[in-house]
Amino acid sequence: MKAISCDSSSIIALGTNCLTWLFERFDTEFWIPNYVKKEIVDNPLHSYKFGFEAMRNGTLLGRGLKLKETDPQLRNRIIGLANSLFHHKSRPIEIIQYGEADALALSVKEGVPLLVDEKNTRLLVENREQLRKLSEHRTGKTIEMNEDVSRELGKLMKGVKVIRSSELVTVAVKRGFFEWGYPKRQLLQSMLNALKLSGCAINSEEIKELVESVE
Amino acid sequence: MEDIIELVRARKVRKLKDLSDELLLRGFVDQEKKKVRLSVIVRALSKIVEKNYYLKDRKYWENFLSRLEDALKAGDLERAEKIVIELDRHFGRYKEDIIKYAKIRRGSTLYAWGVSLTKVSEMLGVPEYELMHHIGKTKMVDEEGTGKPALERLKDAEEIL
Repeated sequence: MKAISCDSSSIIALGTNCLTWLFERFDTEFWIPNYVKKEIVDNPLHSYKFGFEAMRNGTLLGRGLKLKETDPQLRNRIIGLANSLFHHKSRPIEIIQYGEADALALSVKEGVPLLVDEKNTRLLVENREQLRKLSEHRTGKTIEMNEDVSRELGKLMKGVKVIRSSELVTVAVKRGFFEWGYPKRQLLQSMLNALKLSGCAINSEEIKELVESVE
Repeated sequence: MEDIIELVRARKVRKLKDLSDELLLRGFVDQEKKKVRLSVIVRALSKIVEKNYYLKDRKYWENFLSRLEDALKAGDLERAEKIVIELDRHFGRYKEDIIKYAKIRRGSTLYAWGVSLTKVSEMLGVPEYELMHHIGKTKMVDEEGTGKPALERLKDAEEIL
């Protein structure tokens, strides 16, 4: 059985658009570590605004989503490395916390891909120099990267493939999971726009490419 | 801290916004949570002085400024937040308080600077849901490059799923 480790950001984006039923349609297990469960179920459960979404997410446990043990030592190592990656005037800048690190640790431990919609964790895996440049460009301050830490992170996360909710729904549309009576491209375009508005880090050019990939 | 009250008294919206930006930046690079928290309060104050309806009861307004000044001088940011929320409850027009609104706006900026969503959520005490909903409405992602070509990522997704 194939599996993927999920971060809370993708579950939030899909849940906001009532698309979490897709988890049950693929022949892939969608795993979440404990801290992700906290982010999508436990923490918002008593919130005025998001209590209902938390309950809906709770019903997915054991069905679309499977709670999976992660390795706390590995998670803490990832946090330690990521939070000493960038510096300003020799002072480390903390950029990551338990939620994303737990999903990442599960992915590394089990050798499975990562489903994440938030851009910083994705760039931490795929392109740390780009993340540094972005931070420097937006803050206007010099941000240095510890190359040894970057190499160590790269070694640790080697081979981790990252996808977003946008790719997940594209595959779902291609496989005909939506029989809604609308042209596939139009449907996908609307779905990707909705996911983007819900926080999925995908730009307009990428949306265009994904839509055009559908026949 | 005295500068903040002076700027509020003079209703200097732009200067308050600039000060909030500066505090946030210093909080980010110096890793000082207190500066980030103060940045949120100043941002909320900039929104307050923009609207006449917050200032319509002069007696209440003067009392608000005096209490806020005391809290800020004492470095008690929690009390300062409560005082701002109280004013907002009396005169504000939205269900959600103005401090929460400012936290979401400032959190969105921290995310743009490279801080992960759950880290921002923890730093500011604002749900990840709120942050994502706000971030999705910004142009942030369109202004940035991508880590990997979209079609290559799609190919990965087809293999994974």
